[in-house]
Amino acid sequence: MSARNNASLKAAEMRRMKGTLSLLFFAILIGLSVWFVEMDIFELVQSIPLFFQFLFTDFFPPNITDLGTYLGPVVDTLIFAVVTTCLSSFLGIVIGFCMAHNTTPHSSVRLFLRGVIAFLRNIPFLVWASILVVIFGVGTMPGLFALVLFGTSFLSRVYAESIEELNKDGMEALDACGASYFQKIKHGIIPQFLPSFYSWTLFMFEINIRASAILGLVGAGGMGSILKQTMDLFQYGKTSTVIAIMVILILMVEYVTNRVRERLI
Amino acid sequence: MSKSQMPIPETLLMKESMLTKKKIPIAHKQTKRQQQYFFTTVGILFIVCLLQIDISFSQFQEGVARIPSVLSMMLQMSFTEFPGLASEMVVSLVTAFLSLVLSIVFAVVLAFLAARNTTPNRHIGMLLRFLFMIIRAIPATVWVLIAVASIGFGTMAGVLGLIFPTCSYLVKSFSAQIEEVGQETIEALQSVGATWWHIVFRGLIPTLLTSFLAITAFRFEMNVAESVILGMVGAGGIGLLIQGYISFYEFSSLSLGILMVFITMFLLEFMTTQIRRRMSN
Amino acid sequence: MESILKITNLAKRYNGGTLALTDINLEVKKGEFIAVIGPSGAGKSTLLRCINRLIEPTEGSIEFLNQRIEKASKNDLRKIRSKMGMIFQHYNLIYRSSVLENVLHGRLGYMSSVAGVFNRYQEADKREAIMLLEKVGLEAEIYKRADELSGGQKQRVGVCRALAQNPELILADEPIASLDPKSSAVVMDAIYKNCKEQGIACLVNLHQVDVAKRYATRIVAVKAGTIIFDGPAGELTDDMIKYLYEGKEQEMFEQAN
Repeated sequence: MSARNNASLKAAEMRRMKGTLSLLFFAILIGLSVWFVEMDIFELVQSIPLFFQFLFTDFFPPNITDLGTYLGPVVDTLIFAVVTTCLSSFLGIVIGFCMAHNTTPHSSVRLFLRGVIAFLRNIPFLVWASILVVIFGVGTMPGLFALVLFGTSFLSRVYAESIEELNKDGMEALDACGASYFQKIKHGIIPQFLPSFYSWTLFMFEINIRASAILGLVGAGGMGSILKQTMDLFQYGKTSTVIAIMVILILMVEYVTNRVRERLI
Repeated sequence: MSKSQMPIPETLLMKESMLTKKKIPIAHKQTKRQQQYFFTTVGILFIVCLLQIDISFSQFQEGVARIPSVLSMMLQMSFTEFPGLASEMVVSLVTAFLSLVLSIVFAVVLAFLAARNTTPNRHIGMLLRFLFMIIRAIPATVWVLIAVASIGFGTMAGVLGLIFPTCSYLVKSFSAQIEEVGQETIEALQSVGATWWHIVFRGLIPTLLTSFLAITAFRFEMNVAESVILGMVGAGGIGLLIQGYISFYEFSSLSLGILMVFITMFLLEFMTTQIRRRMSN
Repeated sequence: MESILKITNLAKRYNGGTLALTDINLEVKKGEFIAVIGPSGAGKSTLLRCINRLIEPTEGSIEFLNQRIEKASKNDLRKIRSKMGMIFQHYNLIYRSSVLENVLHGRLGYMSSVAGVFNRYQEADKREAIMLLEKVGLEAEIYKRADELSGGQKQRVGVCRALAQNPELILADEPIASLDPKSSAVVMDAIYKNCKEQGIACLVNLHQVDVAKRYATRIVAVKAGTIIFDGPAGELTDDMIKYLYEGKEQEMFEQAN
């Protein structure tokens, strides 16, 4: 009895030591970080009230002149999100199927795609948007391409993961019936994959609305461009109006997608 | 949940189909209806929206023509800027890290106040949840822009600005965990007469520690991505350099920058997945 | 009676060196109802899955309707499999699809890839599937989703799916292992009656020896990867059963309940 108590005491001690060590490690890390970026803690603390003061004096009350002119970009933002989500979803399915190891036509295809998609996915999408602006010029096109690139890389990965986690039993039975590759996908994979598909695609739509809204910051259209404009001109009252509209839009989309998700799954 | 069908007598079914030459249905009615509904709505939406976008084909062609030259410039990766890029990459990482650390401090407390089953006052909980919902709806980049506008360009604006989206995300995820997983612990401790503080600090935090850490690790990844992005709108870090290279067509340095971001984020993603896997064991 | 399945010197060795099956020789004639018995881990499942090549055999030959299975191309394998129905211990249904859809999956092996993808089943096939479901008592469940059914009902769907293939041979891998006694009886009756009526040969894996004796005329006993008994049910003595379950006696006692 006492031997067991000793052992569990030791284990608890070890855990506590590990805990304190990690805390110490993080404290050091924080110290190093602050030193590295030459951040003055006092300045930071002082800037907080400055920030809020700025927020409440310059951003409120919202300036609602020109409200009508915002309508176009808002609709643009929505349209971008819809189109790019659909396109990314379609491409994502094709690529996702080739990436999952239970549905890939060939393992070399799978490895290649995983590499490409990992590359696309880990570069923040605004970088792509910016590069595409250089290539295609300012306007809606680079923004759309950037969103599709970003969306496809995200969705193909999550689709592939969902497909790999599907129940394998049903597929075994279809194999035993003599079904072909495409028949197995249509009858075995797709019915079970649909709930994840709906869920992730709706989630992608939410992300795309946000991404679409800030595309304009690098010149790619949508509400972001108005945001940039008003901020460059120091018309912060108008900025807060635009932000308010953005918030309402995003919240509405979140609400709608949640309702749809409830009904489908 | 799915509802069951009224049993259709087989004889009736077959007679009906033989008389009207209608095909015998085979699918589960509700599932099939949902599918058709979803895909037709989406299809219509897609086509309607697609028509609204006007894409100039000539712009596309000109752009495609530019790709080879841009690509070749990018392939000649120049390492001259490496030290600057490396240090700025660290700056971005640090920005993400510091804003995360500061956010955790607030988020842990606020999450317990916001969660439905641990909030001391129902109204405070509702208010907090509403407030954070709004904060969360504002894209992180916008927050940083506001910060930049108020206290000027630089890392501080980045850290300050990122605190808002990070904190609200953490509060939402943490409180979701508390509401889902914490209920049992709460009931157990309540039955032995523990106070609110006891329940939170002795009961819930130890139980939820691992999932909180996993959530935090995940958020760190997102923060680093945001950090790079916000650099592009002026708040310092590697994003600023990258945007500079793009604006001045310095593609050879740009490709190095992109590679560095990719490697960093890839490693980060790898580490986070490992952490999350070990947490769930 | 012609033989439809001939297994010669079948062996299966796994990568780690484990020998799951050795020197299996078995012949199945048209319409025979054979029960394969043995303790868990003896290799019964492996044997069945080697027959339709869900598991690749390492040695030996399997001849089905004068075709060599182990050498068959992908397309030929499809055709061979469509003539072999399989029933699984865990039902292996597609749970988000309807019962009728699941049964119709049995026809996929006979349809071209494209036709199967677009659900172009013949009306006659659909009618036959419905009749099969009626025979096992599931006419009220035809349009329900497969996950709404009880265990016994799910297995009956599995049986209908196998029968929809109009097979020459049915492979049933512990079809009643997860079922209560009442559902087990219903399922075994369904399998037995349909096989007898349509002259379908059947290989059923069972670990309940009493059930085996009740339904099968011929019993094959597998122990540690080899066949130690192959003959009429009447000749299987209690001593042989004890030898079969040597080392795993608790499985014998589980059956007594």
